[in-house]
Amino acid sequence: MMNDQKPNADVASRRHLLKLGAMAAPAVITLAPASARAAASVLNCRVPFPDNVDSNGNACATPTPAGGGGNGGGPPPWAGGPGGNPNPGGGQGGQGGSGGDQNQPICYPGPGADMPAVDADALQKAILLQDDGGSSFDGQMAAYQKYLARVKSQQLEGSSCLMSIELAGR
Amino acid sequence: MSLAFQSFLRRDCTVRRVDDLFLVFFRPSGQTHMLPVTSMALLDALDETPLAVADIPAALAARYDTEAEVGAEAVVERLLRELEEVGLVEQVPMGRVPEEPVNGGVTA
Repeated sequence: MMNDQKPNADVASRRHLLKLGAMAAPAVITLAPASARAAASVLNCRVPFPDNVDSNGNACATPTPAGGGGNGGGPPPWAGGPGGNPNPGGGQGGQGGSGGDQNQPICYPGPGADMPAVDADALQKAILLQDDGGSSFDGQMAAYQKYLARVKSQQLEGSSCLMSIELAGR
Repeated sequence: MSLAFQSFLRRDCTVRRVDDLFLVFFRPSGQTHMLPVTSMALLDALDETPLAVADIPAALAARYDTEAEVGAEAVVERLLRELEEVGLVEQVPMGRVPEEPVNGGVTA
């Protein structure tokens, strides 16, 4: 993974490792849904996620079924067009399962909560997140990325955690 | 017997970079974590390579052509504890001391 982007990763690593002794930020942030009931560790801060996140970085109601949903061969929904403005209310109406509408953003499941790996729900989410080299995994990660950008720009819950880990790296 | 830490980054994780942070999906738990560059470098250095805490700063310094900082070991240990809590690293025993023969080495 680091080797896939070796030149940039190594230069960045070297710069950051020069400040290892001064690093006070969390080592890891766990992305968890806001509904997660597990107590947050005092060592790790959390960035609460909606249960489902769409390709515009907004909360959405129902995950688009795998292999179907709003992108029947045209450009990805987030590539541009009139539907790109985030909804401060956190949703853009029903995004689930309307496979025939190519303008609807794809709704992805959010990061798994603190559930045992053997739990059927966690396994289902793990399967959906599995890197099969296709667009679904990259799309899901891109959706998380857009949501994180919203967290920072709109100072949503988790923004201080996010900024603390970023500031330590500068 | 000293303790060391190791990760299974390539075996258990899928990683995507987001600016200077790394999204890491950890398959055994199904959780997604975000790591800064320093933590990611630590996971990479420990990938299926157990290292004692005392040896890690020098290993990182050699890997990235820097010098090990004074006090880095304490920081590394804190980072490792946080990463261990979410399962991204695990402790392994190192340097298991061989048992002394009962008869001074003479076998029947």
